[in-house]
Amino acid sequence: MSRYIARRVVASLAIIYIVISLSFFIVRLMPGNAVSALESQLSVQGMTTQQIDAQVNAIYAVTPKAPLWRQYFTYIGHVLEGKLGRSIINQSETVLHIIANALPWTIFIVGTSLIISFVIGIAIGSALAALQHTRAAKAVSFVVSVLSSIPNYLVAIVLLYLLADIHPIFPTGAAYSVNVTVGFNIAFIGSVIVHGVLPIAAYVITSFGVWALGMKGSAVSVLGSEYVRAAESRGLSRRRLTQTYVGRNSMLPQVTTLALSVGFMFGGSIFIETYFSYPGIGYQLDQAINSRDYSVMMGCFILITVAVVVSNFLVDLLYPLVDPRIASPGGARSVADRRAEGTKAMPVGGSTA
Amino acid sequence: MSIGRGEPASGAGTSPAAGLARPILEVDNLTVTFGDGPGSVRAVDEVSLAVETGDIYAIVGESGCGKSTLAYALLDIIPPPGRVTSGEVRFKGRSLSQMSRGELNRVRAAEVAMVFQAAMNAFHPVITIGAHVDHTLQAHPEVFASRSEGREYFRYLLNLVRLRPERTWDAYESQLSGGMKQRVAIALALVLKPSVVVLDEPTTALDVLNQRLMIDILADLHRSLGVSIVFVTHDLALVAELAGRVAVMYAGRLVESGTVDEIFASGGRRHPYVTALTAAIPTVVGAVSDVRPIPGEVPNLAQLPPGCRFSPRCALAEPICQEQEPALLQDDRGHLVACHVANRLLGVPSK
Amino acid sequence: MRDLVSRLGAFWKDLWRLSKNDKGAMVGGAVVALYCVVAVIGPYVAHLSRVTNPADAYLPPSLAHPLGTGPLGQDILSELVVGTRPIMEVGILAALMTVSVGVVIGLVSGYLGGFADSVLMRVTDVFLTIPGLALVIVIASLVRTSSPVVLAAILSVTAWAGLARAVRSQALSLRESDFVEAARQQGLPLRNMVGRQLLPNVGPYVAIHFLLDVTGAIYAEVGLFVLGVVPISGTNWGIMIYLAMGQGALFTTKSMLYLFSPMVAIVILQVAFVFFTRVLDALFNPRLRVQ
Repeated sequence: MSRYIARRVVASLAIIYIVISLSFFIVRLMPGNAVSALESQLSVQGMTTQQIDAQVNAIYAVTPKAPLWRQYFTYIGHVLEGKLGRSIINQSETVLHIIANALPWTIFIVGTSLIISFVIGIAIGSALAALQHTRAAKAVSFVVSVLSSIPNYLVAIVLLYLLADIHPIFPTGAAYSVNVTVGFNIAFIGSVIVHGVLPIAAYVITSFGVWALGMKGSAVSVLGSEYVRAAESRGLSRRRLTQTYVGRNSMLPQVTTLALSVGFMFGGSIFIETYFSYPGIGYQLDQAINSRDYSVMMGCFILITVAVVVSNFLVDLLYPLVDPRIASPGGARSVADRRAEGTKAMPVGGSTA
Repeated sequence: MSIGRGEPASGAGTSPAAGLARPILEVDNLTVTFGDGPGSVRAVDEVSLAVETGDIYAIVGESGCGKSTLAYALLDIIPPPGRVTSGEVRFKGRSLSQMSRGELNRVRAAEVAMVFQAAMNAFHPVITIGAHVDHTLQAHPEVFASRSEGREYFRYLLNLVRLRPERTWDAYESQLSGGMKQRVAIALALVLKPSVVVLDEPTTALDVLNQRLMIDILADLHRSLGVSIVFVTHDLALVAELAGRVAVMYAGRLVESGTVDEIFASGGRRHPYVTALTAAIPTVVGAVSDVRPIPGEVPNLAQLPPGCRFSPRCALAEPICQEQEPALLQDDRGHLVACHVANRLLGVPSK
Repeated sequence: MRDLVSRLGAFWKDLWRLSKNDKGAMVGGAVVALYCVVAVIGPYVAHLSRVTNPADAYLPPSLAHPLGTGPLGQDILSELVVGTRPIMEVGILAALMTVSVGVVIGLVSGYLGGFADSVLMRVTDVFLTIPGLALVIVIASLVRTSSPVVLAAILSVTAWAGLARAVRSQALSLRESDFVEAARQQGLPLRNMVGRQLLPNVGPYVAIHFLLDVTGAIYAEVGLFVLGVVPISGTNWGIMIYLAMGQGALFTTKSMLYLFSPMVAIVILQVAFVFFTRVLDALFNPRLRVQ
């Protein structure tokens, strides 16, 4: 067990390291080198070379004149210390500060959406599996497949159009109203909830179907498996059958998908938060892209990846609790292994029915 | 600790006609249909048979002939979309279809137990063998005075199937070999002291040594527990060695049923399919050239030939065989054959 | 060769038989085919008028303009038809790249085994973990390309990883199988095995992956345009939505058709793809097939 955890820790750290390196090389080596762009922009503003170097160093956490390898190590060192540089647009703000302000909102929206859609999806999926071959189940399956094939940003646009602009029931943006005082009070919490409804709805509408169809698929195959028939032949109660024999095993693949969908939802936050002007990581990333604020951009990207790696790691840790085979020596398969089989179940904007 | 159920059976493999008491398990004109509408398929088609107390009863057929479905029907656990469309299964004279779910659950395992084909997949992969036993005992509190008594009996059964109880109880199925799983499955099926145990292909997935062991264990269990055994197989060697009575199925229908002697004795009145099946068994001493495989394939249940289902592959087929489905006719000893030609040759009178 | 032909024949027969039973899949397949036709002939059939009359802005549907007109008086249906090709082109191109990279890496990794395998699989794991959409958006915003090929390459930057793993595990299990061992001892070249054994095993998975990759690529591609991350040039559905939003379509009901037509076009296509995939699933999944 401890070997299993140690391996997951090492793998997670390796991926974080690779992503930090990737973000360095993306900014430095992509066409339209961001650092030289900034340099020429500053020299147009009439700065001296020293001033420019100092400024570039502050923003990108690199020394432009140094050889590439040295820049690389300086950058890695800075990132590990939490120095992600400063925003180009608002140079008094550190990237870390921007991210720290944005992250809780994204976690709030993504976490709430994930829980709601998981619960709804698992319930619907179980019902679909129990009632398979009935007309109602087929109709519900159809609706669910359609909903889960719709790109989430289109749902966001429709929600915005219908419920915020044309019929102004919900606010069109921000995380809470300007009229409330931030703190632990009812007005603030109420405002946060009202502002979160549409973004959360956009996620839930497009993602509960993925859970429902995944759950239905695995429950149907578990229902068809020999050991369920064997348990039935031993006269076990219906409750014992559905909970211990069918339910538990059908949930296993869904737990794996949980980690995968965190990544997907964080990615999708760029669309959803942008449309709802919701001040999370995705919104900051979009703002940074539009203003070519590369240091904020890469900071957001690193953060999104770290969030995904951490959630994968958590699922890896929790998985042995539901499936004891993992902890046994022969059966150590990581989430990545299982996910490869599950990729089919989590395509962008669609899923296999 | 009480071991075994009541007195031992009144002699294994005794003549079926001898039992005047009702058969313990009766299948009466049973039809099981998969799907509905024009695409539906009858996996079991108007099959009748009777298992007497203490019988070892074999149901024989090639794969896809409906014999496993018949076995499932004995416990009313036919997987959807299959369902019984006519006829019934009676346990001690009571129809399963008339039982409430609670009654049915009491009959399952406590009276009629099942060991599945591919017992490898018969266990929940993420709970221990012991948990399987506990769940089963918990579902049938009436069988034992206490849980520990039930566990104690399971340990006794593990010894009977030649497994070490202490190593089996906390194991997950993935930690057991195929042969071990099969034996645990049998012990688990017997833990509630059923009067009948149904085994689906008990030896198919096993290697030769384990097959031998399995035959010994089954004969042993039959002797020491007095349990009636129904098993489904395509392995005629197993049938010859173990069974007292045999029913042969072809494409969903019963084509012949009788004692093991009637089926295997040469020269008797037999269905040509059964003759062909016995000719298709290789023997260790005989030459390979003596083995005659049956030409053609088992028909697709969705596209059955007209008349007798075996007629396209049958060496004796006559025009009538392609027109009329032969009836299952009985001689005075209770030996049943469904074949126009065989029944006429021996002049068996129509019912 | 004859073997392959008969295999393909059986494949189409099965596909047809299963499609007949699953109307959703049949309709899905037909819709996908229709979109492909529109993508090919669209630009020859529909014409975008260069001269538009602002007085014709937001006309309701009529015979001349079946879906009405946009803010500049342009015909919405024509834009929709012309905008099909760029979307389908990039989607299919991206899926092709994804599938080729995935299959090649999976095969190489599975056959070489050992050190090369572990290196390739570690790399694959990294790409499986990085949130693909975020990386795609970051790269696209830096590269700012309007070339379909480059765009497709960006879209497939992480998508191949899942397929690579699946193909590798097939290749591994094949490599360890008895008949490959027997063939090796007889000195038969391994590439025979790839053609005869591996591709038929992996083929179904690749086919399903391909279709879902097309939907994935279209999702991300349209998303990039709607966000305005890639340069706006020409016409496609994403650009239509972007322009509509930019012109305040969200705040007025009269622009509903302009905003929603391309969205409906995308949704229908995505749904059709997913339903069409289902029949392949049934075709390749024996358990579903029996029913």
